[in-house]
Amino acid sequence: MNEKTLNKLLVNAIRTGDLGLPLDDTVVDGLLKQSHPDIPDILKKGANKKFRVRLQDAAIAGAKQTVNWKTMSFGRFLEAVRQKANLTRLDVGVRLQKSDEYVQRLERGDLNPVELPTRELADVVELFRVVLTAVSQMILASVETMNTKQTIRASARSHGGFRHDTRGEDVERALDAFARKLAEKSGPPEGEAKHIDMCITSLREELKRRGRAELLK
Amino acid sequence: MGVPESDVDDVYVDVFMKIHGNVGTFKCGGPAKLTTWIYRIAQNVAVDYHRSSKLNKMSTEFNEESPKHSKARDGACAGRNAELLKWLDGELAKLSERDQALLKWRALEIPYAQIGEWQGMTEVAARVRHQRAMEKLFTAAKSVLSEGAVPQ
Repeated sequence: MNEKTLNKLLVNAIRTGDLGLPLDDTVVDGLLKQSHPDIPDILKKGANKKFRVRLQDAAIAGAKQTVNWKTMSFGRFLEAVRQKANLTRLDVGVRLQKSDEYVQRLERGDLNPVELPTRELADVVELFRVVLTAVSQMILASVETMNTKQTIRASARSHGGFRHDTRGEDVERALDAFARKLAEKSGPPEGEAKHIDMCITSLREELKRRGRAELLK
Repeated sequence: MGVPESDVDDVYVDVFMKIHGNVGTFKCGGPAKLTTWIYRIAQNVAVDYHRSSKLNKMSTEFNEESPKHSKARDGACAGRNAELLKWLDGELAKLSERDQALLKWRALEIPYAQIGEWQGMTEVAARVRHQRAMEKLFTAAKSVLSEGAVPQ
């Protein structure tokens, strides 16, 4: 055994935490004063991007705990979680590689989740980490709401026939709530169950392919 | 902290996630400065990284050279030459805290001048002290070797 070997052994033991390192203010100040190699910009950018993604994931996970998905349609659930996580539609859009308008349409229920390409639906489910049983239930609520809304939407357009963004959001939410109530009374739409089943089956396959076993529950 | 460049970004993110999640527990005006608190977090994350790293080069080296060394499968030293570490820990414990710190800092290539500053001695004194501590470890290693037990 020589000095080099002994030092390697010491370094290894320190790095794996088997030997403690005395770290007080003086030592850390001294360590920070020493010259360190410059980190390439590309590495910094990559790390910052990863950090942002991890923060968003943590915020979504935290927000999900406070949202009662059982009473919500898929889109409204996404909206509620996004808002509680303090994310903008643009943030979610960037993660899904889509525009903020796409996210808005998804949240408002203008896009039927059953009719979304499986990959896109899987992207959303992966981002919000929703398990299949919950997705299935929320999609059913979405479809019920959409079908009911079809018949009452026309009467809700009162702004020159155009949707106005500022007002439209509130109107849509109120309409959703109203439609949900009506749908609950009338029961699940006939024939839709088959579509939903097919959608969930392909979603299950896609999630399996992506190795997201934890979402298959 | 010995993290290879290919994994620096992941470790960096882990450090900042820990800081973000625990910043509320930091006591302003408490026992340590914010920089020290952050450094300790970084140190702990680096330790976790090295422990989970499959490429523990040092243990492979020693296992190949000295097949007699045990490979414990549990405990703090699992898979990292438990016997060798136990020997080193025991020998370090025989030294003063100052010498232990000196050996550790030098192993991490901290200059003698800096260590001397931390320990309130001159650069030359730090160098001499380090040399003596090293010699003590070598002597211990030799005596153990002659008995046919641990390091080579």
